[in-house]
Amino acid sequence: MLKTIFTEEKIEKIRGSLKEDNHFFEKRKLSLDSFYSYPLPSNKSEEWRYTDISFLDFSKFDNDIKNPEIKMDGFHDLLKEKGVIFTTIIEAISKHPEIIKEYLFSKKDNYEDKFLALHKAMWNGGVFIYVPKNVEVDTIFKVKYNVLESSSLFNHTLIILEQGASLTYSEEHTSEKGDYEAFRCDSVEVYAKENSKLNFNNFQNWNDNITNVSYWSARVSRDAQVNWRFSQLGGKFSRIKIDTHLDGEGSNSTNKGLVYANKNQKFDITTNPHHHVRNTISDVLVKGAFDGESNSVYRGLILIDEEGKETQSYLSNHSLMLSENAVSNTIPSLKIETDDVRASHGATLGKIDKDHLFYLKTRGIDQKSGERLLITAFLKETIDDMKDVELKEKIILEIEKKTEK
Amino acid sequence: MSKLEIKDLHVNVEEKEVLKGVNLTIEQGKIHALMGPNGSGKSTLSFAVMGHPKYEITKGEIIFDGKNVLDLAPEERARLGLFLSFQYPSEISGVSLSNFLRTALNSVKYTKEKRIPVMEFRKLLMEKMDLLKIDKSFASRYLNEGFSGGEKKRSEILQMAILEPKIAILDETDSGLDVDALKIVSNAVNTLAGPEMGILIITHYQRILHHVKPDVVHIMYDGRIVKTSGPELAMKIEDEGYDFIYKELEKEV
Amino acid sequence: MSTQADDIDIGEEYKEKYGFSDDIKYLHTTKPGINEGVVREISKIKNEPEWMLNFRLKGLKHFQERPMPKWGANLGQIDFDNITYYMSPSEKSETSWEDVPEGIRKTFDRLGIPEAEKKFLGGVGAQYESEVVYHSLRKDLEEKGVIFLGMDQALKEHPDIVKKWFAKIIPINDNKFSALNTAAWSGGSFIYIPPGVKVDVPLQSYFRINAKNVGQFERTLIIADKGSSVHYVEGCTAPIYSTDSLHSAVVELIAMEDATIRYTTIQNWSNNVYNLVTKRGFAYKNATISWIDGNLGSKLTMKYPGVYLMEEGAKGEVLSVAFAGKGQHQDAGAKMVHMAPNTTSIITSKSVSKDGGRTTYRGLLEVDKGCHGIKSNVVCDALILDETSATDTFPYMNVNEQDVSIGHEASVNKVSDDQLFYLMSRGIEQSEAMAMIVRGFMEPFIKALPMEYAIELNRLIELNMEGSVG
Repeated sequence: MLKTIFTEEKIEKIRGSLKEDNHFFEKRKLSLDSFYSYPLPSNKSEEWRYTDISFLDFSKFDNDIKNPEIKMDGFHDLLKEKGVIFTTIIEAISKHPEIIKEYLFSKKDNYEDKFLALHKAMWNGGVFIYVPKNVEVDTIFKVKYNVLESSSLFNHTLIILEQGASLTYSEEHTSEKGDYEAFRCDSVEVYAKENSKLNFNNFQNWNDNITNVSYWSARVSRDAQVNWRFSQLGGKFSRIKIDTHLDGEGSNSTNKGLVYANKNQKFDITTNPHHHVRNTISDVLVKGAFDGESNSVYRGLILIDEEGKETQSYLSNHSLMLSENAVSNTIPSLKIETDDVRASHGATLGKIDKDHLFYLKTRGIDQKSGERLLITAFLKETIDDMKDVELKEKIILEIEKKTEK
Repeated sequence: MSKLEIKDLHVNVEEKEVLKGVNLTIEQGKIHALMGPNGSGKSTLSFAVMGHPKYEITKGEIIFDGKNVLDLAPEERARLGLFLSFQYPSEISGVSLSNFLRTALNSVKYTKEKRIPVMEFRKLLMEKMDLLKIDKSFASRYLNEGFSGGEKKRSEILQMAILEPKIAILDETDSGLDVDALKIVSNAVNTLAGPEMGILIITHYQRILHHVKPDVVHIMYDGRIVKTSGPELAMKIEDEGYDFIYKELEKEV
Repeated sequence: MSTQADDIDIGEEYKEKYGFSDDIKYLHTTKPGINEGVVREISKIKNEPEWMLNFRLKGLKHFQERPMPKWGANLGQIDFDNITYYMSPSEKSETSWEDVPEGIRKTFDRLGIPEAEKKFLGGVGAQYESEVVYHSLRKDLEEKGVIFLGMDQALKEHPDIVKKWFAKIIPINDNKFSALNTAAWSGGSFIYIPPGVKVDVPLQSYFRINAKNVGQFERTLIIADKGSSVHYVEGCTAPIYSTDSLHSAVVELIAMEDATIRYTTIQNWSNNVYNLVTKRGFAYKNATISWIDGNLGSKLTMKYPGVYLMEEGAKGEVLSVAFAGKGQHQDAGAKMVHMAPNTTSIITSKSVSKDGGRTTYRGLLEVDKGCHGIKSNVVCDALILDETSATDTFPYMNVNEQDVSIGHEASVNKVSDDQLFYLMSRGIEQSEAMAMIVRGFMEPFIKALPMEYAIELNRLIELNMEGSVG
């Protein structure tokens, strides 16, 4: 079945439409082979132990590989003059092929699974951002994706910050309602050079016709900082795995995110900070509210290498159980190869605090409104410090709307 | 008579010079006060005297009873009769205060062959706890764990009372104490003071000096002792703050 | 608390105190390796009923078919064909030390077992290689109907109870090593506490491996009937050899309504023993099962004591410490399965790694659908004493219910310079200060032990801490 969907002809077609050179084409072919060589993940592999994706039926998606609607905002001429690039990756491949060649899929860790291999074979859209040395982008770069029809979508986001550069980037995902299903298999790749700073904001509020498997990664150099923020509300199934490699001394990363699941939604979130060198800091906070018959998995592994002395790494995960039919799996882990580190994780699972609810009631707030307030307040903590205030307010609004469903 | 002599002491903390040539002598039987604004190096001096590995002595000497102690480990300095009451005592889970104190007392005043009998130690501990108005239940609580600020300071003075050092440095012992606790601690210090003990009180404020009368007052500023005088100096600082010192220094420059 | 810090090398000390070996003539020894012939031979020597032989054969089949677990520690070096699966040193289990063969009796004398029995134990079992050589129970307990026997003897004397519960808590196919135990089991304890009987002194078993390349596969079953209570303690040691031995026990506990079982292990195998143990208990209405699990010895331990909380009000507890030194990996943890509403579980894990040792906490907390009112708390603290040592924490939480209150905390720390300095400024030597902090770190565990064991454990920690200051 798959073999008739993801074929070399498809890759040829993408090559034609992107006008890419052979370098990319050869890599695509190799990745396609890898894709077929991996078995479909099952609960036998640790990463997918609690996530059943046997429902994934590629025949439901239109045979064609398409691009979603994309809107970009925040770029201006002054930035252009300074050498900042903010464009679609399709355009970048013809205009800046050398930079793309240098960075695309170049990270050293060799992590790959079936879906990432598929993405590497099929990527055909997305965004490319390049910020030159010491340029601080004064606007927020915003990208809005909207899925319109049945398709398989492979967006790649490549962000390169040179030494001392800084950027706030926000992406928003939606889908048109309709009697169709779409599959997204995206990847985000970040290179934050010395002393640079990236705020990466993600918000998705798809309809329940989207299945998503995404892989994000960042390489963070000396004294650089990468702040991930994600808000996952929509979709039928959404998986995000974030690997943050703290490569340089003094590098720092925060991972904060929220998941709000209801009905039959499934989420699978992984945040793994890897401390490769000494004196690096990471802070992870993930919160989930689980309603209906939703089923969610959260994994967070703190990895500290032998060289990672004087490292600080904290991870918290809090789950709010809103329905007796919801399922939550939490696996916060530590793997530490040296001493002189400060690492800890904490996880809690519970339901809405009756005392809090009572307190609100004594102030005249009814049960339902009280619950809504408490759910929103609970989730909101993860985006409180989001630099894109407009997006933050929108997310809060959407959370409130969802509590009414 | 015991004597602690600090001569031209230079100390680096994380490669930054904090003490820039301190000279100070404290004799048994005398109470000295060391005052000075925040960041002038007062706590650094106390850690350097006790031998904290983070404090690097780049120049100078610390001589106790005629012996240079710079090469000695902290526990060896303690056995000679030096004591530091910490501004922020460590919390150590699982180690009870009484067990800790008995171990310390045995290593400071006894030998491996001859240890203090348990009953005798209990008696001593209860006596000293009475003196400091410390609740008996503290003996079985874990070392400083969950102690309030005032309780920690009283636990420090209790340790001093039991180990009976020759020279004790009290680093900001008055900070975080309410008036009642300050009185208790001060009374205890007065009781313990005497011809057998020399005391260096490090303080930012003057509060404790209303209760414990110093013989000598030193002012520290930017890593040096810039003024030494009688108790009237503390009063002057209380009235005028440190400004007049700064002015005097400017004149000198 | 002892403060002596005489310079004893831990290896030397272990060798002298536990690591000696005896020259013993064995009555039966099977050929190295395991196969149907060996299993039938063991069963025949024991003159067992047919159903037990069938159990064994099923276990063997599963053991052979099941792949090695891929997760966890490195098991690749175990040479199953080089292990002797059954060695019996004596004809039968004796009830008087005088009747135990002299060489073996001397061993247990040296380990201090008869002395402890006189002082503070209600009953003692002693196993040497594959067989229980000694078993006794205090008269008054016997009169109350308490049964404390070697497992083989229990199978002969109380076949109905054994058959009813054998492999019911840990099924034959639970895992590769419980299957191996089912095939090759020999020895272990059987305990039955009648309704309402509270056994106020500990019952203890001591397990000793003496020969090289031997496997010990004891099987223990403890049934605490309604409203009863019991505290069982096990200890274990072995000589130091350059080749590896295998210890793979299965322990099943049943705590009926309102019953309490406390099961304490002080595992101090020599550093050439693979210790792969399956332990699990069923706790019924308002019953409590506590595993107090201390892992100091062995080359590799993989052990996750579990409690299945079967009925309302049941309570499960695991309190464990692990100490991993040079060449050691302690992969230990806990498994709590909440199968009924209003059940409670507590897991406290403390681990210390030094000299290149590795500690791993691996735990599972599961709340089944419909189990409301669940309370569970998990705390894992790891202390790393030097830069060559390592630690992992892998807690799994699988929750299928809304009305729960679950907390998990884990932290990794080293002994801080400030703590050390503080103690040293009071005249305490660095090595003693370090040992003091480690003992303090393990205090919650030590407190849970009967006094005699607490003293022993403190001593062991002290020994393990020797020369740890760098």
